[in-house]
Amino acid sequence: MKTKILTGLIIGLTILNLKCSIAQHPFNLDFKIPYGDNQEAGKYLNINGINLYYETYGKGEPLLLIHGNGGSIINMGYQIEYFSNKYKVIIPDCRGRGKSELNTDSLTYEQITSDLIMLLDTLGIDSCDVIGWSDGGIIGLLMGINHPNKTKKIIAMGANVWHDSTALYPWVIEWIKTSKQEAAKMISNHDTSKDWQVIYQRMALMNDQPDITLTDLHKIKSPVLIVAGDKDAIREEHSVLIYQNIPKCQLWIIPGGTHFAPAVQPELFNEKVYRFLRGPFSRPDSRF
Amino acid sequence: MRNLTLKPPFLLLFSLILICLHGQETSYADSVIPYGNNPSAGHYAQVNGIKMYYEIYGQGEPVVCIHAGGGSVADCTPQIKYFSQHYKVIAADSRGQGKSELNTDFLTYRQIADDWAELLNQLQVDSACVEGYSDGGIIGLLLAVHHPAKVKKLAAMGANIQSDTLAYYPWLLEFLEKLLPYAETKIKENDTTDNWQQYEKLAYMWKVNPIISVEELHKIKCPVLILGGDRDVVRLEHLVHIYRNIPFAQLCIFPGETHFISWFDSVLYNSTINKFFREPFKINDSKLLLEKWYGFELK
Repeated sequence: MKTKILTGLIIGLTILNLKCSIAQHPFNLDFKIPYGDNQEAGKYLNINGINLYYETYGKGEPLLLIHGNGGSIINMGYQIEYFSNKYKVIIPDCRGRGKSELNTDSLTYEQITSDLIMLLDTLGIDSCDVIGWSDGGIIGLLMGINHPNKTKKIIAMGANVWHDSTALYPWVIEWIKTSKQEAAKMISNHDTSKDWQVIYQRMALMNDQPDITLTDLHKIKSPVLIVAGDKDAIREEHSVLIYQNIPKCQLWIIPGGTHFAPAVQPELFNEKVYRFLRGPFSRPDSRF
Repeated sequence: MRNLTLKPPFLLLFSLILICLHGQETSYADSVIPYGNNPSAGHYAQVNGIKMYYEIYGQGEPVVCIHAGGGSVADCTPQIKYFSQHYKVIAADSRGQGKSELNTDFLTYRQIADDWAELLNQLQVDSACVEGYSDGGIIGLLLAVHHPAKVKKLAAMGANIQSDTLAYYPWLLEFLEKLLPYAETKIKENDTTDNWQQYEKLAYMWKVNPIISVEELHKIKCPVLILGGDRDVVRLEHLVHIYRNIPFAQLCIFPGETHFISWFDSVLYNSTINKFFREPFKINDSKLLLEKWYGFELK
């Protein structure tokens, strides 16, 4: 009898396992170095009421990497791998993600930005280059707007400056709304299968923010590279608008590229970004 | 008489004269082949009532290079050099330009596109990968709309489908406004410092053309790569608009580049297009990747 139950349990678990395995990263994130969980590179810093986890790699000029909404340090493994040979790479788990604490019931982009500015201050970094992906791109832009002395060059991949249907595709808005509702339901049901509090905060962040104006973008002093896939989650028209409102800016739309280009096409992404970081900024014009 | 501020007057829109002058030392010096004026590669075809000049280089799958307005085969030099290593490159002078006859009162893009289709017929090219630059891109789009069998894949750089404020920046429209009366004046004055007859025809075409509707774009069956510099003469919104309305399209905006990338960064330009020609076409959608990530279908 016991054996039968055990067998049933094993079969059940196997089926469950199979079901779970349907959900997977659409890109390979197997790295030799355990990015995001690397005791040799990781440290905690107590700032703004949380323990913020970050890792540092390499030597040279400082380069801050900022991951996206549902990600953590490991999602930018390809960027750590490539840039740590050239820069001192600093990459945190943003508040509520990875090993960093959430400790808020109203997560904002400004708060995350403030965390990262304090991280840079604590590390004694006056200013640095920034590569931000998705939410990380928004935070990169906010650093450029609100802390202009902190940023040298900014690369914002798949970033939006507001959150309506002129910025995001309908399926993105729908996905965020549904996920937020689901998280709220799970919290009220006291479900503990996932950290619904964090999921709710993440989804609310994307659902209700950011609210960066074009006038805000005008304030950015750093040279910026706006990057997007030609089938991004962000409307291509919105990426064009962001580009047009930053004084020193270049725009790169990747043919056949997606919102996930940094992990799907890492070589192409990294090389182009490095070219932007390394070279002098120029903005040639067709006008004759 | 209006005071014209065209300076210098020979600096025409879409004409690569400036670039040819600049690029001559570096670009032509290492090129012993006089592209655009090469008797050993050049031929004439009798097409739609004109003699149309074309040159052929290399072997393999056919690649068609269509030059910008006011230009000629010579403007395709960086592309011919690159693509002829792997493909059979067909480059021609569009009607009324280079060595090809005009024989019409009004140039239109449609007419030029029909000429190209007929040239390909005569060369027994069933279908080809087409690279079109500026006016060449417009002609490429019209080839894909009206002669779909002829175009396997199309790479259209800095192309527009209308010539208004939605497509162009104000400075360019202003320039186009002045160009036609300027050319007409020069003709009246019997000025022979430049080919004003040709510019008059082109200026008129640029002013009133192209008029390609989104419905026409919807008809395009082949994969299309829409390209532009982030500081092109064509508005980025317009390039996105064209991209949006072609069923199988990719969009490439080059950072820190102008309308003139085919000369100034020909390596990047050519290799981007070659990748598009070579690789099987697919649209990679963020939505599908996110679904894979989360393991469920999104609405």
